[in-house]
Amino acid sequence: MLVPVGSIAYARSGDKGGMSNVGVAARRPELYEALKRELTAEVVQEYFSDRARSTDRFELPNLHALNFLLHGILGKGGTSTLRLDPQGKALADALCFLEVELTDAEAALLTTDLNQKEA
Amino acid sequence: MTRAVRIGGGLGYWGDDTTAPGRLVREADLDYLVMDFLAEVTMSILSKQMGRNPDAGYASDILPILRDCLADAVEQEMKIVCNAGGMNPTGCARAVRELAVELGLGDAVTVAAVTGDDVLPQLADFAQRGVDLSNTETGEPYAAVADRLASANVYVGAESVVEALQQGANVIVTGRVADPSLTLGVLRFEHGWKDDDWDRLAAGIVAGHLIECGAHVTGGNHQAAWEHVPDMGDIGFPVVEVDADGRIELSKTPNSGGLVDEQTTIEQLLYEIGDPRAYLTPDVTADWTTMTVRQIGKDLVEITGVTGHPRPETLKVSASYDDGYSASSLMLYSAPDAVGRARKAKEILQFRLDRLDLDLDEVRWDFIGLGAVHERRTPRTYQGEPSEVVLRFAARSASRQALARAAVELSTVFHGPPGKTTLTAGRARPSSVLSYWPMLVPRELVSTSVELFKE
Repeated sequence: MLVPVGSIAYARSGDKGGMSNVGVAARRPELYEALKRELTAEVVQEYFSDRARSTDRFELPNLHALNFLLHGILGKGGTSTLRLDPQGKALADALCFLEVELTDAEAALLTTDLNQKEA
Repeated sequence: MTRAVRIGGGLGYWGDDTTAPGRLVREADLDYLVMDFLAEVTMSILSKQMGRNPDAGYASDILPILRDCLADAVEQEMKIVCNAGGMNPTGCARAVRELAVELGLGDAVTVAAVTGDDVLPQLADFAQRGVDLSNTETGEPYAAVADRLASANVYVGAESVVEALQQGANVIVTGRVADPSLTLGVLRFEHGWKDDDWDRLAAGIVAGHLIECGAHVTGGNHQAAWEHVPDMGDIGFPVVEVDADGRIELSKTPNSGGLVDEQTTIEQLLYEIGDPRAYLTPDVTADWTTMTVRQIGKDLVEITGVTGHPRPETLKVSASYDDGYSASSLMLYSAPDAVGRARKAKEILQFRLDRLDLDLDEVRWDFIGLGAVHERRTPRTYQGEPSEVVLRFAARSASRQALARAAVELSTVFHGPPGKTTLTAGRARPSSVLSYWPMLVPRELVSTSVELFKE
């Protein structure tokens, strides 16, 4: 089943000079493997290829998370780029729109509301 | 073993809510208040301010913040560590000292200024000695910017904060001490950690990283589940309690809004990191991949198992250079045919600008509301809604002060839902208003004369 990354993970992004990082964490530990399998550096680079020069991927299994470094995506940096979102804060949301393929077992995990917080 | 040290993160950036630190000081039973004022862009702004006025060049919000909470901090024997000094820690310290005297706290307040991070005057010498000052991201040579640098500050470590505390200071203002190193300095002083105790130093850096963005770890900008964060309008700021072994407990201002859980913690841990196995700081190379994050109570998260490696041999310099000018303008079109009209306007303007043949290095047109932020990554409408929406605030007042205060408040939506991007830089600035006043006067009261000035 194809689902947006945002349904199995959450993310935060920010600026590092002309680079931006996007950290993505699985909403449940069981979904980390799917995240790792589907969100390769190549997939993410292709997704942002209109803006990023290259993409590095790092793994944080202890946080069930991946970190992507998108090189050149903010031009010469947040102070000089003419783009909206000069500090890359919205890139986390942008990555969450990307659609990835889940196995049936993984998709079954989505039947419960992963967003639920205690009141 | 020394007891755990309780440190509050009162501010996430210069421009953040100036009332948050006071509330932490009064309600969170802290040992230390730490505040991070500086971002990559801040030093160049401060450098320009100091060029115009040698007494300026520091984050001036420190003064209203301390006016609000210095007496309360002193009464509780709480110490304050911040990098508000910016380009002018000495000037900042002098102003803080004057404020302390004015508040009747002259006997109780020792202010320390930490300087030495400003290396702009030394760069030419560094280059001559063969130091490679090329751009670390692009590889461009130093010569390309050497004659138009506006600021150059080294990210320095915790050492100077430790020294200032050892010398008895209870308010410390630094220049470009790395954000998490402010917190590490406090922990090294209190726990007596050695400068090669890599695992504990790395734990101190993690503690500092958790609180350095203020409310962004307490439910602000909470992408995972922003709609479930309670009382965001009254959001609390973060508190870390760190013991001598480097075990961290993260919580927030008691009885406040917001949320501290594993997801808010992980979001902040993922913010602005590079290689997680080697998070480089002036004090230690921290490893982000060994820690465990665990919820142990309501709004209470435990972080254990942080490890570290020897610190890097080089220090990062954050420099800025004059790179011309930019201008932007917003034009709002409404129905009917809003999109068609906006496109026509762009076409006309593009034609006229082309005809002028101006020397413009880059031109960018964005149709805000039609997927301008995410571009090809979202359709123009998302689930039936426009892909983005601009919230506008406007106010008028006889009091400039009232508007300035309202403008501070506006910055606090950074603690709100995620997805806010910056459209205009800095706080809203009150500007004077000229209003139209048509009148009538009798003709005979008016006479005109002509005066010529010539040789």
